[in-house]
Amino acid sequence: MWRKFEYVRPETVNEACKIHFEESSSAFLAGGTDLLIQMKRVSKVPKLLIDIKNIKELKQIAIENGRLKIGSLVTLREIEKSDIITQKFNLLSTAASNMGSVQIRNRGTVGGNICNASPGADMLPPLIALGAQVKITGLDGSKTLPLEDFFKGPGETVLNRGQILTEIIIPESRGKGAFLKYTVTSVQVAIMNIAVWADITEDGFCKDIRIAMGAAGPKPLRMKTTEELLKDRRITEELVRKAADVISNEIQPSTRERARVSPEYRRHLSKVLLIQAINSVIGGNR
Amino acid sequence: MKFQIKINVNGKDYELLVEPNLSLLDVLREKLKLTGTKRGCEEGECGACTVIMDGKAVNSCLVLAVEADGKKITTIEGLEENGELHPLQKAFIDYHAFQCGFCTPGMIMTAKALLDENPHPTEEDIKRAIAGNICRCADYTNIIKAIMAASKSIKRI
Repeated sequence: MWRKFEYVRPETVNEACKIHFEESSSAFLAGGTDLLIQMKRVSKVPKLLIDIKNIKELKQIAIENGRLKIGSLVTLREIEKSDIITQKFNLLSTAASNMGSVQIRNRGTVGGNICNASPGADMLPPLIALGAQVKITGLDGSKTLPLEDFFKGPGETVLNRGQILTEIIIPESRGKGAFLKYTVTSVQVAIMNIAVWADITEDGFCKDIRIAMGAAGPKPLRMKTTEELLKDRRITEELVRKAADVISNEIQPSTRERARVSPEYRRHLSKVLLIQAINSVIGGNR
Repeated sequence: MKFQIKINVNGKDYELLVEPNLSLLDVLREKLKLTGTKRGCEEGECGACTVIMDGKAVNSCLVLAVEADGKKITTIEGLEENGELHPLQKAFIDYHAFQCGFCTPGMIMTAKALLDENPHPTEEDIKRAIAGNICRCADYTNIIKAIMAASKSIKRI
């Protein structure tokens, strides 16, 4: 039971955007696994919930012209189990499979994970490392932008009133990825996570690399300085150790009292995760 | 404003008038008097409220009743057939897989959803599947044994 609110279930994106735009105290309801929990606080209950789960066009998983398209309403469980994604973008299904419990994954959506914009969200680093773009649709049309530009801060995105995240677009590419999540128990929000995607030749030459980390700053971070150190270089143990030092300085760990672990611990953890992730990529994970 | 919803619970159709701020858990327990499904944390962490909705295990505390409109729900009460307990229920008894029993309905529904999808799970599969169901009385050894045993006895049918 929650404090009272109104509820509506539009059939199209356009209808949903219109309602959202016209009611300033409204929120989109997808899987509800973040929103309905936040709404336990009376102050967080909007006047109106707009249930978008009837909008069928937001539920597709398909490959089109060398790009993977995931509708924002695709559930984490669907991503975990999708043949297309496990075969060609294993990074994403690994990340999805480690989120919450089966019960949560059966309801929670990738769009919800993105728009909730928790700095530690598990889908964000892999999507960013894979070069994902997101499509935002509003009353005046659609636009696409890189996912890493979608976040302003903890819980804050660039979405305006009347706009919905409709689709995630990921280019097919060569290269291999790894995703690691550090937690104490199995069903826990990440204390830190990392996604590495790299194009490394047979003899260890790194042609391209993208590194993204979650719960290492106020939003998911692309670790560009660390990437620069590794790109166009032969990957040696010594280089990876250097990169680990660089990444530990590049992260922006929270210094708040309420932070679950200290900044020093996060810096230490970032080194460990980077080394393990790169070893995993070299070892042949997809 | 109330909504008219149609839900099928354990094979029976219901038409109910509900406020949007009620959860499926609220409706199952308070309106349909199916109190087998338990209220635990009410924030999707403990799994005591687990039911199967359209074939998938979900936390009924995080599903609004209005979201369940048109859906098929199975609760613990729906597992027995013609007065005979489901193999999972029998196995939980045979393997002493409960003490206070509070986590048990949710645990069994999660197991049922698992076996419906994967009739021959490994121990690792079972552990992953029940990760969202907390038991505070004991460890999970007997629960895992019971689910494994049930999977084998269902195979024989």
